[in-house]
Amino acid sequence: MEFLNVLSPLAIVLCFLGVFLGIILGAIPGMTATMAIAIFLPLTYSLDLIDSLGLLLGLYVGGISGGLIPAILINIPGTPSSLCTTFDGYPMTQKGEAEKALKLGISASVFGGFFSLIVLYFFAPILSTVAVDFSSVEKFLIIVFALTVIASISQGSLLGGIFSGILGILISLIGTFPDNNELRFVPEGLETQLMYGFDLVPVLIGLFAIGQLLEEAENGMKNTASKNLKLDSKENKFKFSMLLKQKMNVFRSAIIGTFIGILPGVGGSAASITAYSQAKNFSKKPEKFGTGEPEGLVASEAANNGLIGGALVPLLSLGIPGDSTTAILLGAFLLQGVQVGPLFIPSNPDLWSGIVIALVIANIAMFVILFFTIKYFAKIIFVPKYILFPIIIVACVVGSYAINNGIMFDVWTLFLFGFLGYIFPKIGVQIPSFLIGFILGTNAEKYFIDSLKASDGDLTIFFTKGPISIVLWVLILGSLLYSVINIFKSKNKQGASL
Amino acid sequence: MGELLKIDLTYSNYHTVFPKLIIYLLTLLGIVLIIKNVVNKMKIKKTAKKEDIHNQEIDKDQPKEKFNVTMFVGTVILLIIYGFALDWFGFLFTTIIFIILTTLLYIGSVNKKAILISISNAAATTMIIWLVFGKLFDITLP
Repeated sequence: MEFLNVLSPLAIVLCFLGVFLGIILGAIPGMTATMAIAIFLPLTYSLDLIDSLGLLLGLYVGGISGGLIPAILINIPGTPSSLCTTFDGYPMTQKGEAEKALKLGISASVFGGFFSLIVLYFFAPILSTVAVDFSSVEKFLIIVFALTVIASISQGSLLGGIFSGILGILISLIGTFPDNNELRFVPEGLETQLMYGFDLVPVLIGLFAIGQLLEEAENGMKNTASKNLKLDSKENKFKFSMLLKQKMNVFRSAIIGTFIGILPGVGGSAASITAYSQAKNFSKKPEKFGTGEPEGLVASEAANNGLIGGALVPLLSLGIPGDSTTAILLGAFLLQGVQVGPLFIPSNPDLWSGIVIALVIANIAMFVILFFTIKYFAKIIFVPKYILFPIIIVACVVGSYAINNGIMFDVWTLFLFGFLGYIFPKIGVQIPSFLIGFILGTNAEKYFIDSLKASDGDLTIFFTKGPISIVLWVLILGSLLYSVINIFKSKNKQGASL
Repeated sequence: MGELLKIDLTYSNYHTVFPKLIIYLLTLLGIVLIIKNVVNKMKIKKTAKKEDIHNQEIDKDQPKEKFNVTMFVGTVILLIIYGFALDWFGFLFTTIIFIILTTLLYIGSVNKKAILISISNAAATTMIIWLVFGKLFDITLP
């Protein structure tokens, strides 16, 4: 029991508690892992550093993982990073495979988590120096690479999908451009509210949750859908061999998740989006993606938990927070008077191994808690809609209101995008593509402009920057070509079957 | 060729460069989509005559879902009123009333059982959210 020397029993208990609370907060639409950590940060002031890290890392792992529950069961991503989990998770629920989908997702998550931990433990110092070499050009290309997923998830019309994605980018640009503090696309009278544009969380849950609510209302809130749903029959149970069959997919997605996590500023959602599109490109049956194909679900979940270890690499070895969640964790270190940076690991070996062990425990706790309670969670789909939907609306409103500490405008954003989420499918705008554009748009602009600043406006910089950018171009073009070929293949297949 | 690949970049136009590019792309795609749609419609018109009978059969098999006006309009109105009322009357009161009304709207009838369900749903949900989020976690509620 060597780890008891580094980790106090209290830290372990707090870690379990953190995971449990994180799962619940992550599962509520509108509450994110970032928020979970932010809520509990003030409480950790009175704790030892290692105890508080146990709690916060538990919340991080739990918060990221809990998002899969509503994503799979009711088609509402609990957190932005579980967006891609809905694509195949919810169709599996509709096919009566909810429990199988949840358990597959959880197992993929725990694998992604452990993989990224190994990377964190052995390669943190080396990798962080590589990541620093990624300039804005490479980061822009990574975002473009993540955007290629739009081509592969387009339902029906490829052009329509791309149009939706670019529309999403355009909407994400509303607000101030931070470099020169100039507003654009802001209607008069809304300058203060739209200073920073629309917040991602109300946009996301508006499009999914409120949009779906209006759709259900239009159809008269019929209970038929959930009455026909069955939980998994005995013959169709989850087995670990299902995950083993996809070891390449799990592995690839965990690598993508970890690596994107390491890059500061690319963002967590990009990880599962990229992993999903690559799983589709490498799959033998890409045409089944989006109809309840376990491969897609596994890719998304392995990647978003892989992200956690990845995101901690630059935080702990360079003191750079890659996203808002790690920025709050950085706050926790500062609160305790610990400086993170290049000297952190060599000068705090005990704390360092404590963090790694806390993450191992958090991943185990996440798996144990979710795996054995999931069949009770899965019963959510039997709750009548007239009870479930009012609760979901209130949860969304509370989450949107609280995400920026009490801004009523975020609630109106929620309603506005809820209405758009209802209208969009009717006029051919594809919501998943739109959201991916929206999520990646701001960073795409930032790194695009940063690259051009360095090159004095010369666009050739994107091709001449160096070997890494060439590799990224090959990946982008390969990914695009592959998805276009896949679309034609599936069209031909459909043609043949008609 | 070199001129084409260069973008005029000054401090004062940083914020317009990327949006302009995106708007160009969007317009271009929009035009292509419109043309494609028109062409498709013309194609359909040509083949429609042959498949008229066939199409009618399909229509019979799948009756269109009826648009539930009461429920849809009711939801939209309740959401908007809820948004305003949160500012005027605070979280607890507004949310209880909102959940009672939406639950009743979705059940679709007002009888003893429906009222009972809606009131218990409203009371339980609101109290749990208020206690756990408002009091325990100290989240700012509307």
